[in-house]
Amino acid sequence: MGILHIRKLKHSAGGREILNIDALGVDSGGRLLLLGPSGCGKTTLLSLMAGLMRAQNGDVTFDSTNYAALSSTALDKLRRRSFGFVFQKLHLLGHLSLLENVHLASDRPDDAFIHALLARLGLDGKEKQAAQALSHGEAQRAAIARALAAKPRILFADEPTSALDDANTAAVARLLLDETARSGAALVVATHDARLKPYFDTAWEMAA
Amino acid sequence: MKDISLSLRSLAARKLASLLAVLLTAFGVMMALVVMQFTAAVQERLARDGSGIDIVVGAKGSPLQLVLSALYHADVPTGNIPYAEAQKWMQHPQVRAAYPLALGDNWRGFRIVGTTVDYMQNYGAELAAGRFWQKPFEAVAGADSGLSPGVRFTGAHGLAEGGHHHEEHAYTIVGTLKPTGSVVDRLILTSLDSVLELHGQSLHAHDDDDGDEEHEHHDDEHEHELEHAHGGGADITAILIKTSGPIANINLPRSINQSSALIAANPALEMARLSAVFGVGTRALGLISAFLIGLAALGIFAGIAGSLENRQADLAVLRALGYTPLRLFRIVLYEGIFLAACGLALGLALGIGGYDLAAGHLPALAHGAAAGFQVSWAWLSAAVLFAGLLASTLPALRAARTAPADMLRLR
Repeated sequence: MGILHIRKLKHSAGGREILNIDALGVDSGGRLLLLGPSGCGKTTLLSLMAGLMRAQNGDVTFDSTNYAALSSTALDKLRRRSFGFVFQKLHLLGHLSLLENVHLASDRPDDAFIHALLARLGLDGKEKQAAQALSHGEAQRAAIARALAAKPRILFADEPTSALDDANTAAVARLLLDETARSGAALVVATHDARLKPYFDTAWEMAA
Repeated sequence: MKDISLSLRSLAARKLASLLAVLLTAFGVMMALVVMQFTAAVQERLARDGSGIDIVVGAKGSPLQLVLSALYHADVPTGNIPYAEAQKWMQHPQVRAAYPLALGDNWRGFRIVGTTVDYMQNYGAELAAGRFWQKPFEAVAGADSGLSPGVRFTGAHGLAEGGHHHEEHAYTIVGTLKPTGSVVDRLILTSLDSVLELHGQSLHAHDDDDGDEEHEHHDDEHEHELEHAHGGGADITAILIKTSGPIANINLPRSINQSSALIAANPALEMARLSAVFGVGTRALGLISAFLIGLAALGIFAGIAGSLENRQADLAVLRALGYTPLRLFRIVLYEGIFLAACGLALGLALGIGGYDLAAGHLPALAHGAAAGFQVSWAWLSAAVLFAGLLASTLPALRAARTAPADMLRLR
């Protein structure tokens, strides 16, 4: 069953149309890969789906709620309640501890759930460590933990495997798939990395 | 994670800048507080020394000089007045209480004041040891003099150290006073008779000739406020008067000034005039304090605004995670208020502690410090917190404008 739908979406930037999508959907618990080279608009599409920005034309609906009908604050609350994010550069707040970074995702964190999650991600014992002192691998897993901490309905990931070798790419992909499968969240990944294609039911391939 | 925790962690991540902003604020608050306490101490001291005196009557001259000399013992008298004339006004129906004063000599800079026991009691002075005087040349010492009962000393001419001594007439201290925090602490008090007799006068007409014969030492080269009486009646220096009410406060000075050779000065009026002069200095210090607090607010502004440049990514992440603009505004605002509050607390501690320390070395300031909380401190605190709020408002507004889509620019 679809939980997120895009209809007749058009979006331009710098006088150039970068998105023109008639229909696109994400099923509950489904996996969608937005695949394309740099500059093809995949990150813009991810941002529009996640409510990080507003569509210029067309509709984006989540659970039958059209983003266009939501106030800015309502959209903020929807994101907080329903979506998780893994950013390309991870963007942990360096001066906060790992656990504090994870707690940023929720105003009422479920401590038992978070500790179990951190343990599964191999981060137990690192909770109090400053984010800026984590290794890249640890930071990557911490970012995934933050994205999942609030039990989102959809996890959006932007270039989660860029600059990773094959082994680490596979590890991160498995982590994202396993954890979203465990929580029942849908997974939407925007990437130029074709190595991720085999892991996804659906790949939305975009041209530059 | 609570918003306030996020603010505090952000400040902790910028320790040096935060510390500088706190110190700058603290310095401004400390300065303002010291000025306030000093002003309060001076005003309190003036009020205590004034001790409810409504009118000072003395010889014609500057009213301010008369008030300073007779009430605050901080200037030389304007001259002498006939005791008979003074008595006429002391018994006036509009006078509730009157204290005659005879000045002229000092002991090591402490003025020897001939007066009545009532004068001391007007200042709430109590005996620490001994008793009040019962006969001429017995004296009671104020707390600051360091004299103790049984000590004998001779007065020196004039009101400052250095005059020649009345070796033939020694005073004996028969009592000492507990500290009052007023001018009485700095005086040596004795009967009117003692001072007058020393200068060849007497309150009693028949004593006059004896007095002149006994005291041939008068030395014109020394300042000598209480001159020998000429042609009969004794002279005193001034009278301090408490009137029967506000109307008497207006009428009595007018009567005195119009119908006698004396002058009546209103201490409140004269001190208000003086305050208008030294108030300029106090206001200047107040302005410097306000400037420092303004500078501190600017420091808070610069610290937070500067940090925003490096926190754009953090703020955008928070927006992406669903933080509303209002929350970001609040988080940055808390930072400014917290810095101002820390600076305020440190400034209050330094200002109060520093003033207490200074008061320990300058007893004249001590009672002002002991006066404790002043309403103006609450205003100062409110002003500093408001400055912190104002200083962080612009950066907070800027933070609130962060768009979640800014994450795209920050990839």
